[in-house]
Amino acid sequence: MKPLGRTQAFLRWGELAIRLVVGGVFLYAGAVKISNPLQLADSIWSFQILPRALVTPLALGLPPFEILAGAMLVAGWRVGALAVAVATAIFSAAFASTLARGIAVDCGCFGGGSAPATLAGNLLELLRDLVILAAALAVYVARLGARNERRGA
Amino acid sequence: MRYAQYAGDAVALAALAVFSLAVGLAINHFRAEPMPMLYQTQEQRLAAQLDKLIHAPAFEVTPADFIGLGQFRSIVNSGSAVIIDARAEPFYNDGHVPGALNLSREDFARDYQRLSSVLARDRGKQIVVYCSGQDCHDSRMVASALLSLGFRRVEVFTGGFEAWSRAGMPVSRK
Repeated sequence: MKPLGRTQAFLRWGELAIRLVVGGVFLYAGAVKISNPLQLADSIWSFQILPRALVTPLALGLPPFEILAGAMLVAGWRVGALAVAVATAIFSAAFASTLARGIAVDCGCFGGGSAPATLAGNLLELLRDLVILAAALAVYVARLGARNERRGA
Repeated sequence: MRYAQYAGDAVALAALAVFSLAVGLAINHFRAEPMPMLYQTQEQRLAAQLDKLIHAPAFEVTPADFIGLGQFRSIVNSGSAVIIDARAEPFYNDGHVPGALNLSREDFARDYQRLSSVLARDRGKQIVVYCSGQDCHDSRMVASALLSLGFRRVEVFTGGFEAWSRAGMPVSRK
């Protein structure tokens, strides 16, 4: 193994920091929501996107998904980064849709009901999700590159 | 090579999603009150709760036991039971058995919600319901409603407020 250059060391530590922070956020978000799926279902319904039949499955499945994806990202699994990226891409699209329709929604991201639903708040939540999306994608690409390098591809 | 990787990751992602859903369903299954699979909106849930209250008085189905004046008097004096006045609010305000709570047949849902915390606290206690006199039905209906709402020890004082006041017993006014 060749010694790391400064830039590479910086990237490696940066990647670790992203994994810990973003993975930790996902772990936390899933953990606070898992005990109250009904509140999450109310939040999902307020987006006025999904039909009633899909609200409960999403409200039940999303918290375990966030916990598992967050744990995998912290552990450095490439699929964890992909899962976080795909989830935040979907969250971002949902926020963009409600903002375009002028509907203020209770995000429900961290248990819901904690902050009043406002368009400005939703815009901030959209921006936060876009930042997380970019960070998770960066980790995914870096992990993919590292794997190919190891395999000499 | 790249495409094979992407496809593999996509399959892993799908497996993660399916597994998460299975975990969520399993947790829900073992919850004390599992969430129904078809989502009920907040409005629907509130309507169902009100329905439950309003349709509760199945009084033919669950008749309560009756007690007489002597027994009612000793229960009131001991303070061991919850006394319910089933008459409409103006009659209650005009005069009622000391310590009685107004749970009227007329505004049952409203009164029940107002008293729900008191009733929930005293759920195991004996409840005695009365109305205006021998011929009124409100006490039986309210008693039946309470029985169908899950209260176990509900009785009706058949003499009602008329028998109580005629015997010269104390009366409270609001």
